[in-house]
Amino acid sequence: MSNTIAAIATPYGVGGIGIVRISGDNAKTIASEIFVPIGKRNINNVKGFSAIYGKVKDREGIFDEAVVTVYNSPKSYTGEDCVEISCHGGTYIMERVLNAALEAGASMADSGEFTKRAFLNGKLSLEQAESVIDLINAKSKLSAAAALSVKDGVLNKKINLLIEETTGLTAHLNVWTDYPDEDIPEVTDDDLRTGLGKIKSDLEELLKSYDKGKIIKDGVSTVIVGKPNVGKSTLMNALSGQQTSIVTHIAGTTRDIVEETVKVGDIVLKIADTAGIHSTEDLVESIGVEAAIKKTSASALVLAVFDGTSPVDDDDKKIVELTKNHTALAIINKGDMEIKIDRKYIYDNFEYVVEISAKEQEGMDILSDKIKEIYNINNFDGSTPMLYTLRQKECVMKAYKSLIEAENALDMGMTFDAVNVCIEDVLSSLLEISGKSASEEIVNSIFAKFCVGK
Amino acid sequence: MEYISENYDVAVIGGGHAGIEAALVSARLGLKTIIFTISLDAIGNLPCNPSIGGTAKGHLVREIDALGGEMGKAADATFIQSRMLNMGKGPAVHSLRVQADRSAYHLYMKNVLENQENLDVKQAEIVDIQLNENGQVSGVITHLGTLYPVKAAILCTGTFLNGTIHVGHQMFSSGPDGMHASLKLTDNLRKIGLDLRRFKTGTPARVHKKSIDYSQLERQPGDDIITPFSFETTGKLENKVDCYIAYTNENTHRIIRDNIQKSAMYSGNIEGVGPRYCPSIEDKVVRFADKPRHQIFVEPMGLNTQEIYLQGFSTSLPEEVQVEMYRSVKGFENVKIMRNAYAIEYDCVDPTTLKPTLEFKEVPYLYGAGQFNGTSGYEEAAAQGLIAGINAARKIKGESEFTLDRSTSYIGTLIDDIIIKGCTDPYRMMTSRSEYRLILRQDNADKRLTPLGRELGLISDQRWEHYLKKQEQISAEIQRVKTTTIAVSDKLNQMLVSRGTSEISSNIKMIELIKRPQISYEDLAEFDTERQPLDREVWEQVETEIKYEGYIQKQYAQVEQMKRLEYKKLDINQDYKEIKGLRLEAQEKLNKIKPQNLGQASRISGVSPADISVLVIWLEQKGAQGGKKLEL
Repeated sequence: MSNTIAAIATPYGVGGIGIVRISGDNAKTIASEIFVPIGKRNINNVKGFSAIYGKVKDREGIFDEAVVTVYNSPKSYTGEDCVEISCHGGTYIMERVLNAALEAGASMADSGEFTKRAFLNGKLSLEQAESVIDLINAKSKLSAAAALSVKDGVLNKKINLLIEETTGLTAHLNVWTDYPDEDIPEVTDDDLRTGLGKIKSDLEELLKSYDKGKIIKDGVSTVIVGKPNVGKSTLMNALSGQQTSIVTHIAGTTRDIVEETVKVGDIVLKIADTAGIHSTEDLVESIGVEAAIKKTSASALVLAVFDGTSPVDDDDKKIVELTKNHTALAIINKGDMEIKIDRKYIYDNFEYVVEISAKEQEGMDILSDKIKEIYNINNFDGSTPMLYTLRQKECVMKAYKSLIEAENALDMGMTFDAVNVCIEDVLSSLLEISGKSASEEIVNSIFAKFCVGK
Repeated sequence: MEYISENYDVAVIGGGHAGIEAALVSARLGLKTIIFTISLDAIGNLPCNPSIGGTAKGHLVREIDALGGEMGKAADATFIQSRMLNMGKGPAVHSLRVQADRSAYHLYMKNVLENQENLDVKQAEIVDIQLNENGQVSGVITHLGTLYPVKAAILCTGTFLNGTIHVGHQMFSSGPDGMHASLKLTDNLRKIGLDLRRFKTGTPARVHKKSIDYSQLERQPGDDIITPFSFETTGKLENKVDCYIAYTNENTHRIIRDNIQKSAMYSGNIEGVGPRYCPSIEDKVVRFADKPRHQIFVEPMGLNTQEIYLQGFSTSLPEEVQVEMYRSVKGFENVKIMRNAYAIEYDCVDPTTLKPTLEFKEVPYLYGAGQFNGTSGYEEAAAQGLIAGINAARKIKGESEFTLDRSTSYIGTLIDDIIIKGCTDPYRMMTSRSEYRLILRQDNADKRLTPLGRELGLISDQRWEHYLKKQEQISAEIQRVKTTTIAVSDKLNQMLVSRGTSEISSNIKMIELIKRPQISYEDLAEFDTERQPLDREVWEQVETEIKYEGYIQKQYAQVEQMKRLEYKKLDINQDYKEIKGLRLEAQEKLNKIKPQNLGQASRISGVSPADISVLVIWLEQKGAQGGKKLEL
């Protein structure tokens, strides 16, 4: 039996379509958990090489549409059961799909692991396998380099601190059981809860930091939406400092999605400007509108632009509807003119609102502060530990899950041997980041910290 | 010309706990066996604690017994106080520990050896191991020059090998308890290529019972319900003595600090590495200076002696300081030392030169067990003796190797630890060393190992039938508990609330109640109307298997994960320098340890997950080249 792995199979970056591949004994079960087919056919009842249309979901609900292709063992790239989810391209969506698969029970594939499995299952020739060895060599060099760069870093310090705290907890439990007659201070429920609680909040911080780290590293996929002619393209140009969208006064000028990478303070936004959303009879234009709606659901941040000089109308209300359940920033534009919009309506419907004049470039600094506020990186100074790679995140996630299990065991009133097994899993997952073994760490800590002996 | 004795299959060198199990099992498997000891009066001696078991060590004794070993039975026959440690901390860490009557234990073991078919017991010091032209063991030579032609030899030399005792600045060559040391064997072992080094251990003084004021000490009684070590022991078991606890104080610590330069440990006389888990009192006082007191356990050495062992008070300070500091303890004001505390250094081997069968990789038919392999403790020694004895016998008979992996036992964990990771100080078993401890409980050692013992031929028909019946009862009762409904009643709810758990509103399956940590199988006796009386050892299994099911399943999943690597075999003659892609450090470590499979390789410190990936690919590639079918 092989464990099931998942990874993004297409290159990172902007692309129309991206593929997340899941391979292993539970590939179909895991894919079924994150994919809702439209129609009767589902992943478990179709023949190999079938494609099914449907929606992808995670804990928060449906977030994209996708086509999955099902491969039955041994007729797949890896030779195992395999499911490929083709979703919309772009880092954000693909990582969300991958994350959903990981949360449903898949493990993060190591680089080259699909190919490795393909070889192990006899799907590749010897010559091809040679190149896999090279690939893995390259990987170990790369990870060594990565480990070096992280070594003195703040993340490393933080992880080591967490390892130390977790080791402390489990070492105390262990010494208390391994030396029952010595006068070792008794381990109490409260000690464990306090210790675990502290580690838990640190792990939560770290997990959040991954998104932050991603934002800083990769940028935020952002979409500008609004009814026609509210100044979306003007805003885009104001942000990018150049004319990328055609700016006219005729509603519906922007029919295709225009994408641009801009830097707002420390944050990189990957902005897509969209066609104005309104009811239209124009076929070409309605395609643009549809694309804009899709783009919105695929983006991490929505900049919803409103015309400050006219009252809220049905098209504006559509925008409000569209941005529900998204991280959205309302922008009341045309602040250089008389404001007639119902401000209260906007402020009631959005958590974040700024008023600017894109044309006059007024209020742009407030806009950038607001975005920083949204991502809570106002005070980003490089001394905050951050998770940068998905592998690191997966280890921390595993640690976090085991920690929850430890807390659950305590809540249920399980004996400490069961609790301790969960705490040791936390430690193993943390140590995985640095490649050490849990048992040795604990034994070393026992003798360093406690006075025991015959 | 030297005298040549009759031939034997297996020679066991040393009559301690490792040697006893090795010799017995070899003889029981039908091999003509001889056990050598420097003194017949030292067989099964307890030169340190007069106790068997303890945390994780108790697990080892149960496992030895489950495989048909002797230690558990000897402890059951000669114990004078028994305690199950860690009650309340969960079944995984329950550990049995008994105080044994030291001379009764020795006599019991000597008697068992003497009456064992196929086994000769001989007082002699072995000074050399003879190898044939193939480099295999062919004989052992005694101090009198006699050659014993043998097919295999098992070294169980304990602290006798080049033993040196230190008391203050005094040092002299000696084995434990006044036995003479074995001085000639070391050089000859070096000649045949063994990598020997020096470890040390220590022991506290034995004092006269009548010189202790017991009114000043805390009493530590034994358990009311006594669990035996052996799954075969039946009949009534009872405690015969109490133990006591005393405490050191600031004055004791001052005396130690004032005289610290007189300690052998601090004077630089001792080169051996001491065990971290068993520090001398001077170590404790120096390293944990803020602790105002340390515990001393006052343990009788037996029923027919006044000697008392003072656990926790081991030292290598000179005699006059020993007297002064012992007498500074409340209750010990007039204490009389009968045997002084001492530190002892001895020669032992680097266990990474051993295979999992405990045979030397480079010297066929030569095995090592016990302190000689760098471990510490009677139980650790006995466990290795058993495995070495089984394998020596099987190898001579042309049978397959017998090894235990980490998921089966503490024995397997111990051997895997020492041969893969090695040890830099004497290795002691602890529950924290097992990652699978919810599976490896002392209560289910029979389920884990007795079928293997039966296959080996070490379990009698009668015992096997008893075992099968017990397992059948356990599964039948689990099945019954799953399907039986308990009716809701006020009385039941009262009981539930009194145990700190919630009431039920309708009838409920019994299993759901037993799953609650607060409710025991026994609690439900009066509500479970169809219950048939079952032995404690049966219903305890039922309860544990149900209560911890989720955690146990999780551990089994981890075992599966590990096994996938264990199944991938490596050639122990492989030169890892030839494998491109391995990092230099990994190549060196792999060449030193020569692991038998990928699982072992992954546990070597200095071998990274990336190195393991390289090995996986390389293995499969090799398989493909050899025309072997690729497997999943």
